[in-house]
Amino acid sequence: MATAIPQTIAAPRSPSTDFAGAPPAWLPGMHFAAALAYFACGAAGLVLVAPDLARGAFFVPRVAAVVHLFVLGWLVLSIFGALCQFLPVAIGRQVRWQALAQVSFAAQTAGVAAFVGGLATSHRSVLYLGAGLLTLAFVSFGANLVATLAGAKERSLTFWALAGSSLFLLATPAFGFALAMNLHGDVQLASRFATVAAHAHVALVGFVMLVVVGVAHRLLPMFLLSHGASERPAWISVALLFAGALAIAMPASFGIPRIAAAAALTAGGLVAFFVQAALFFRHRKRRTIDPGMRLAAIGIAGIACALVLAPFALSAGVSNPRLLAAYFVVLVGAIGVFVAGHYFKIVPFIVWYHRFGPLVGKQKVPKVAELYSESAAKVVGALLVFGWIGVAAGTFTGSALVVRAFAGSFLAGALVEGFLMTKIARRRADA
Amino acid sequence: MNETDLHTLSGVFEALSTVIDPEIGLDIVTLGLVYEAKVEDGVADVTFTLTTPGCPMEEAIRGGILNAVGAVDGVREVRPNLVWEPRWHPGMVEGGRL
Repeated sequence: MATAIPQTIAAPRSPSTDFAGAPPAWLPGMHFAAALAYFACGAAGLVLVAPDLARGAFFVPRVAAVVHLFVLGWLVLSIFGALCQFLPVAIGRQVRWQALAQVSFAAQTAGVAAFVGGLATSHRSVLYLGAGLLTLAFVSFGANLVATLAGAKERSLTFWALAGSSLFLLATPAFGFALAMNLHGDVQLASRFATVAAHAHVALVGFVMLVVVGVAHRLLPMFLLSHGASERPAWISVALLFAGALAIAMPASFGIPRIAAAAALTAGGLVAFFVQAALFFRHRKRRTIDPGMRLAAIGIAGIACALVLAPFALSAGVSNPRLLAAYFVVLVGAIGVFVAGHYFKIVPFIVWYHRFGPLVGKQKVPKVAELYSESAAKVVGALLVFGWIGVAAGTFTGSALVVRAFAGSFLAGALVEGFLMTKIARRRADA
Repeated sequence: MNETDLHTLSGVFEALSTVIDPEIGLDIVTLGLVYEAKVEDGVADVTFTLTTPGCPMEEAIRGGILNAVGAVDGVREVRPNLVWEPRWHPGMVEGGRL
């Protein structure tokens, strides 16, 4: 890792510390700020579309708008920001072009607003504008990621996971475009379902899960102080998820064998990831698990629940819309909760690194965990998990009241998380 | 090592005990991250490691060593030396304080 810190210093000259290995705080920071705003908007949207969810109206544009607030606004923006921060740690190189990362951020942030606005209002030109901006964001970030990976010295598991994810980052908008073009066209519901399913799973398995597995492979042992765990399951997971996402992305004309292969490979990849995560937790040397890691663990358990539901929901398809909608609530919610947990690790770390890191050895500095209230973090976790499970249960049972009540809990969790992150970002060293 | 350097060395270890790993919350001496420290003619060599390769705290800890040891009386130069062998493991932590 490149560093501007001198190898030796002469006392009593006060040494200057220049943390050149990390990106400037504003780069991940602006991603996280926008992502948290979209997280709250998505949660508010859940309250609004509760009756639609309860009747399993999965294809209603306003439901699709809320789903995209979570996936594109919360998950993807969080991943873009986390990768800007994480790449120096993961592969020893900063993001190749910071200016391009800003372009990706602007296009993604504006694209989500336009795309979701276009969907919710059925304003086609705004929808296409949003889709164009999102494509620009995906392509520019994907190119930046590939260029950064090209300079990596080591071909680690994280390297391969991120390399694979960049391919599917570029493939996802193609499916999205097909859907957008057909939204007002004369397309049968069944084929639209197949395209929606492929689009969603290429995005969630090929991009999001590959990033999750690659990043978790570095972060979980670091945060849990886990030593001695075998890393073979993570390699198996990356290989199977990549192959599974490829199978999902293949043309529908390959028929049942394609679906069977995609399902088996994806399921195998996810199970391998669960085994790896369990090994990391079992080999941890820290007795206590902090609220962030606990939330991440709950998120992983939720992905396992989604895996159990998947065969029933996807085979029933549009004939059981409530089950299908509940499946997507479980899956997207699980990944969302996993990401929400990591905010309690990443944001305090960035603030500590830039504000307190240069003071180590000069004055007493707080621990990273002391930058936020653990009890407040537990409250956030409870509100989010309670809300997420309740929304899924309400969707499955068809109760609009239940969905709306638990969506309120989820909204409260998202708002309090945003408030806590803002508070952490304002922490400064005492003069 | 002369008597002055010996005296300085105890000050160096005391200073290193103020450098914390902020994620774990323990200082780098207690964590067993400091493999060796020596002082010769006012030059302090500190050989240390990190809990995991690619640890994002590298620069903060290296900077902390420079800051803390650089302020010890009798030290005119600090040379932190990061090594990966032997690989750190949790058994190196003093008294099971994790």
